[in-house]
Amino acid sequence: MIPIEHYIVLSAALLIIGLMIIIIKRNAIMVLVGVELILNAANINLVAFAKNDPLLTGQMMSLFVIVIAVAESAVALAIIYQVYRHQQVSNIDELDELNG
Amino acid sequence: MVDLNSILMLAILLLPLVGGLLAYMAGNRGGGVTIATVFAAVLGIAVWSFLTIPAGTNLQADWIRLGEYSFAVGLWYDQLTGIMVMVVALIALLVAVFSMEYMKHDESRARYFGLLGLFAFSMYGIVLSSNLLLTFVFWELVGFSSYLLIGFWFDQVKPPLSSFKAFVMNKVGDAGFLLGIFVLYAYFKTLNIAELLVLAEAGLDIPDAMLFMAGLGLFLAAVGKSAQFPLQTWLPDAMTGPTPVSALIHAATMVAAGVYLLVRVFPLLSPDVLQLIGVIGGVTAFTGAFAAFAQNDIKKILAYSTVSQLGYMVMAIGAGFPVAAFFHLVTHAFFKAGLFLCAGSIIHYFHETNHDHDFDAQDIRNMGGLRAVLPITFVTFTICTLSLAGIPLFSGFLSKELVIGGILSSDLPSIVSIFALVSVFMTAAYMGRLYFRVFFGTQVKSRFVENIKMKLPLMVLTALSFWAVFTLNPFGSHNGVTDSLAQIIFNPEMAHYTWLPILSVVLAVSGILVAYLYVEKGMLVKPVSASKKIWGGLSANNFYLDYFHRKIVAGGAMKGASFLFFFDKKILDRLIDLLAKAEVVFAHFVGLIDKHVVDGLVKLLAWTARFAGGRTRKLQSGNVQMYFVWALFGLLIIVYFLT
Repeated sequence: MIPIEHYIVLSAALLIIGLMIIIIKRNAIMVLVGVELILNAANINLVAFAKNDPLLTGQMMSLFVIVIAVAESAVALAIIYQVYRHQQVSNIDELDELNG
Repeated sequence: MVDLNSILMLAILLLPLVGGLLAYMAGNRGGGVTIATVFAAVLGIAVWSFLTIPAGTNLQADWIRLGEYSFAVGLWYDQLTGIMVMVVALIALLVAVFSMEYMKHDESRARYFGLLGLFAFSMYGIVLSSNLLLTFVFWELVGFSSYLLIGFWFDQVKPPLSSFKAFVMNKVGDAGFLLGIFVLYAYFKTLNIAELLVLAEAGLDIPDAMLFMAGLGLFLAAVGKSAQFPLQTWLPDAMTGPTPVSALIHAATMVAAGVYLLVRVFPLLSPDVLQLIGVIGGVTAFTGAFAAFAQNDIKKILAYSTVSQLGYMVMAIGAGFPVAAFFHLVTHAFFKAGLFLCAGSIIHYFHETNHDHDFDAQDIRNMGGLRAVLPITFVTFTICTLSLAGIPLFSGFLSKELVIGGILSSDLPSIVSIFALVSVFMTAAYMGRLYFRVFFGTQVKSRFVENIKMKLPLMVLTALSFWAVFTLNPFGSHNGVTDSLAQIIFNPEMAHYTWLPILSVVLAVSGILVAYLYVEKGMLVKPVSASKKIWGGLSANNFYLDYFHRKIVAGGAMKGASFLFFFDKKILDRLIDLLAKAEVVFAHFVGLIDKHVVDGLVKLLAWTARFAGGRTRKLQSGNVQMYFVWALFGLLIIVYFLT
């Protein structure tokens, strides 16, 4: 039986890695990857704490998160693709057309 | 309120004005008849009024009401008014009739007769007015109509100048009149003469200095109007007007208005003022008589004589005998009007017979032997001259005795009595000179028939110069006029001097005698021509009073004005300039404070705002990842504070 602290440390590591990717990476797709990592860090937490819950509400919640993450990544990828098609840019720093 | 008495009084006042307008509109042909008719009607009403209107009748109306102060106007009738109105009405009528002949060749007779009406209206206004405010209004109107009549022939050189001079001299006196009115109103809150006199009888509640000022102001009014020293110079110059006007205005009525006013307000005059009045009257009587000697213009001699006689009236006021003054006013009005009309008759004769333009019809050196030419004029002139000189059996003797007796029994300085007595001699002497020069002598001319319009006024005035008009006793000190006035006017008993009539008659007769010997017999030529060197210039120029007025008064005023101008320019202007400069410097200083302190504060605020804005706008960099970092940072802070 793996103690719960390991789950928590793994999820925290994933959260930090996701945040760092979002802040540091310039490519829009990599930022999207960072967002998925953060979502999955949350999922690990939900599943880990659901082990002690006979009703499994946490696992249900993580399923919702997975579904929403799929939808979100689909929409985000579509937006990124369209932006790239229009402006030939995938770097977030260069997307400054609305910056007065 | 409108009863018969009021109607009579209003008729006397207003008829001449209406008549004047009608006469002006009637034109040159009908003007004279119109005004003479109106004046005759007024004379009738005046006599009727005198017989029926009881003393003390008055007619009152509010004129102006300012808050609690009100100014009333009104008419007042008593014996004094009645006699004065009759004198004015009679002389006005005679002068109007005389003028119809005298002015018959003048192109603007209509204007002349209109002005006579205006003058009579103003004069009745003064006489009838019951309060000083209304008196002042008519006082000015009389001055104005006198101005118009003196300057009647305004296309000649001299008349406009003389009328201007008369106007200015009168204004000096009028300023005093206003001053007196102000003082009286300030202390008594009324200008009604009757009320003032009642107050005066009860003892005036007013400081002595103010009472003196009020009396001085009223006297100054009389000085201007009645041609007293030192303002008398306008009267001789006023002789440039038509001669009948001189008879009416400048001998009988207007110049007497000042004396009339003093008689009216006599109880208001303090003893100090009376002393001053007496002395001024004495000086005027003497200087007037003195100046009459060296004149060659017949009208100027008569004018100076008028000045001198007005001096007698004023002296009597100063001596405290207003009744004597007024009686002399009445007798003088008749015989002096007679003399002036005689002068008019003589001038008219020369105008009719001598058409030489260089000929001066008023210069007595051109005259002589006129007794055969103008017999009626000669008789009138003789009677009036005797009356003026103060010979018994004539009216002038009666009034002059009263005046001189009053002066002697008063406490005026003795120099005034001496002036009065010396002037009796001088009056007789200069009138004698004029009389013998004009009517006697060798020049023989054919008889000139005087027109009836001239004869009639002369004869009436001759008749009025006899003693019997006033009293049956030719040496009596009481007569009709004085007795009726004594009921209403302060009239102290005067001392009787048995030697006085004798002395004054001796003085008068010797005056005439000296003139007779000098002019007719050619005696005394040496002493006269010797003394002429001394006094000739003084007399001919009326003591250089004109020179004094022009150089000292007017010149002094000009000097004072230029000094004030200099003062204004060099000192006041400089001060103001300095003040302005100081203000500019101060303004610059304030400007600096404004720029550096006030503006600095505002700029500091703006700078602070800009600085803060400059710092914080870095947050809005447009970099999405930075926004995320800041959001994360904010979240962490919230979490930190919540746990």
